[in-house]
Amino acid sequence: MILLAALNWHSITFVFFALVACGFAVAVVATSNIVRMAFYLTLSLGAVSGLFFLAGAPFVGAMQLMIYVGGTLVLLIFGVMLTAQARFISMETSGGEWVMAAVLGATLLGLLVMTGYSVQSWRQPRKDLAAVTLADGQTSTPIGMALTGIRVDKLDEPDASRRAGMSGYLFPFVIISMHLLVVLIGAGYMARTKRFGGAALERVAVTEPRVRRRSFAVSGGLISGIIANLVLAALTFGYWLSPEVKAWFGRLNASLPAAADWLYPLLGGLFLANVLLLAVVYLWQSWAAIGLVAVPLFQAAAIGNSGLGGTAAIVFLVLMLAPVLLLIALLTTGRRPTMWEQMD
Amino acid sequence: VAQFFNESLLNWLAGWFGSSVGPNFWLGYVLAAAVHIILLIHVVAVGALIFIWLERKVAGRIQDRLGPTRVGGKFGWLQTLADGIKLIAKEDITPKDADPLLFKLAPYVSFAASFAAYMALPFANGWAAQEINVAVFFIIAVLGVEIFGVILAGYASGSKWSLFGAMREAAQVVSYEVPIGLCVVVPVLIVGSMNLVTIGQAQAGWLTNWLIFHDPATFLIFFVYFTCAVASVNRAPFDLAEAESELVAGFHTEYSGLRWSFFFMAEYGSMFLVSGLAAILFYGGWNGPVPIFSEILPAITGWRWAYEQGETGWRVLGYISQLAGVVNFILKAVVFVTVMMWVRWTLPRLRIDQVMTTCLKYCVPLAAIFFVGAIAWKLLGIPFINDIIPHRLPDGSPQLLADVRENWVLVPEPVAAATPATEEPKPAPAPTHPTPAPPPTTTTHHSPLTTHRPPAARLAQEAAP
Repeated sequence: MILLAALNWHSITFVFFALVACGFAVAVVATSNIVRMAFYLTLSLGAVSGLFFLAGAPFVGAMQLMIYVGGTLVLLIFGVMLTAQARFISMETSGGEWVMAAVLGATLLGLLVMTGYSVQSWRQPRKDLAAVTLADGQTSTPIGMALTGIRVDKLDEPDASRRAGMSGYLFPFVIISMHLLVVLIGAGYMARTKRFGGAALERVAVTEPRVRRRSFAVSGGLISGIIANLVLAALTFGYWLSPEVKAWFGRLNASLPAAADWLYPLLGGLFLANVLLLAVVYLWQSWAAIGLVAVPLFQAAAIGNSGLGGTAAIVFLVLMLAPVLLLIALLTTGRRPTMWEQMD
Repeated sequence: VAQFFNESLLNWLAGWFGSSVGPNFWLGYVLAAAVHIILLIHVVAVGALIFIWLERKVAGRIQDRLGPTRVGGKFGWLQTLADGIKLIAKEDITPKDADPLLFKLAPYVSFAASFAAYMALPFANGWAAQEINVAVFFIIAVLGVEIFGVILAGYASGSKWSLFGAMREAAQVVSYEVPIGLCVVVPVLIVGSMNLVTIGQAQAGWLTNWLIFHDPATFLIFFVYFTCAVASVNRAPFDLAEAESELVAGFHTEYSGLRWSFFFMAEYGSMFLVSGLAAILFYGGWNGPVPIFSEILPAITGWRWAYEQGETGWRVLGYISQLAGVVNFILKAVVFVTVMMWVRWTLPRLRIDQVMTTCLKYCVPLAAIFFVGAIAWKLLGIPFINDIIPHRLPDGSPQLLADVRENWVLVPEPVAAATPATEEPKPAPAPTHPTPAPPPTTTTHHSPLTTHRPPAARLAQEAAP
């Protein structure tokens, strides 16, 4: 009784979990059946999560259960799926593989052991062992706050230089979650059943590729529109960014009133959008024509609100819309099938 | 509990032999652990006995017959016990093609996972085997482990039926963990804690304080949660893993006797567990619809009845109110289990692709939408049923929801140093902020959340902008 009372039950539980973790890790290596391997791996990882619970870190422990044990579950499923054809396949390990695995494992083990022993405070028992209270496990709030951007644990840091930088892990957290989301959607997309409607498939197979023709007027209009919009965009951005261009404009027309600063990048961006839309029309997509009408309207509205005045906006709108309307007229008229009808 | 054992029972026993034991004697801890485990095993095992009987009665009534009537007198209520004796007497067969080790272990894996989740489930205010502050997360994580047993059973049986059943179950459970996680987050978000005891206590008072009445999105997300819970415990109409019309009995085709019954104990254990989780997260847990013990009886008698959170002393009145809480909790959970049975005997089984469609095309988007809805409701602070009778703590401060999360902001170091008590936040002036969550103005033990504040309470409460 007295002997038992003298024992430290915390360390006994620790030794138990550690032995389970290590023992089953060895069992993973020693078994040849892949499903049994996965099962042992689960037990080993579960014991590690027990260690976390023992250390008063239930959040990390539950995380370990969820991620590692759950991940092994998927491994197990794949193991079952791969080996279900022939029952209870043994994985033969050749001598070379053993050697390679032994070298790799021994290297890692040596590194970890050396690292562990190099930490001075881990090599001797704490002097104030009696004063240590076991963690109460109230760790999830600091973790949560650190993930949302506040490091409450740094408040306890005695060293002032290390207390600096209170920023948490919001940015990496968001990056990782977006990354995982992309991976998830990508996996779902790649694994989807590639099913085409029967009728659609037939139509693709039977009909010949249509011979679509562009009239010279439309082609020329589209290409010149692209060039004109590019030049306009370059001029706008130049006016915005470069003092020389601004000065040149000033010499050209001294009475030009000053517009708000935000106008020029907006206008230039919209000119570039026009270039894009014209290219889309050139590639037989009719929806871009709507954009071609909408963009000048936006631009005129922006000009009207920027201090240049309503007259300038109306003049701009007329100048911009006229070629667009001409282009649409060219598309919709002419020999049937018109270009508009051939568009997707 | 361990110190109670040591100081009262063991010290008294040791006195017979002329010695004494301290409050940290190891035997007290072992006894305390044993008491918890025995109680929980009884919840799972006896619960399974009763639920199997209930299932037969419910199935009988739905199919217009009586169900068991003879064994044990009036309602056939000993029928399950008779079945149990029959199961014990059955021969324990291992098929020739089976992997003997995994085949024998699989039922225990299933049962152990289902049982381990009970460790974190509180049955009344503070009455949990282990009150861990990430209990919600822990339960969800451990519940996912349960299908290990099913997959091992399916693989190790050496039977095509079992393998098919297990693979279906694996696909199903892994898929349904996603919407269930999304649903569970909403109450966590509203209360601002993953501690189930805190979540339960935050709903004390009249039934309008239950989180299901917190906002319409939470109200709706409960139904998504319940659907996913039914699927994740593998009950009809989602019981593809044991679809008896096509797979004989699915993953437990080759099992017999007591091993087979372990799967059933695990299944009914999980049913009760997800139902209890629903009761705590959405339906006030151990708090009844009417606050008899926390408000009415204290007002009439003038005594203090219900325990505050974190209170450790022993009081008869507190004990009675705790017992009433346990009854409340178990009743709520049993109602949900009964609904699951009702669903099982009413709806036809889905096909596996329909199960997947239900999860991926309905449950996940709905859960995501309601999740955003709950956040928006919280953000805009629109009143709902919760606000009809706002819960008042004894000192008159309103119900504490999301106190942990809402008003914690960092203050510069000098101010922090000047804040003397780490456990007591400064009383904030009445906020113009929509969330009605000013901290309690008086002593700490009036606040159910105080013990769960972050340790660095140099974070201080700040008046909302």
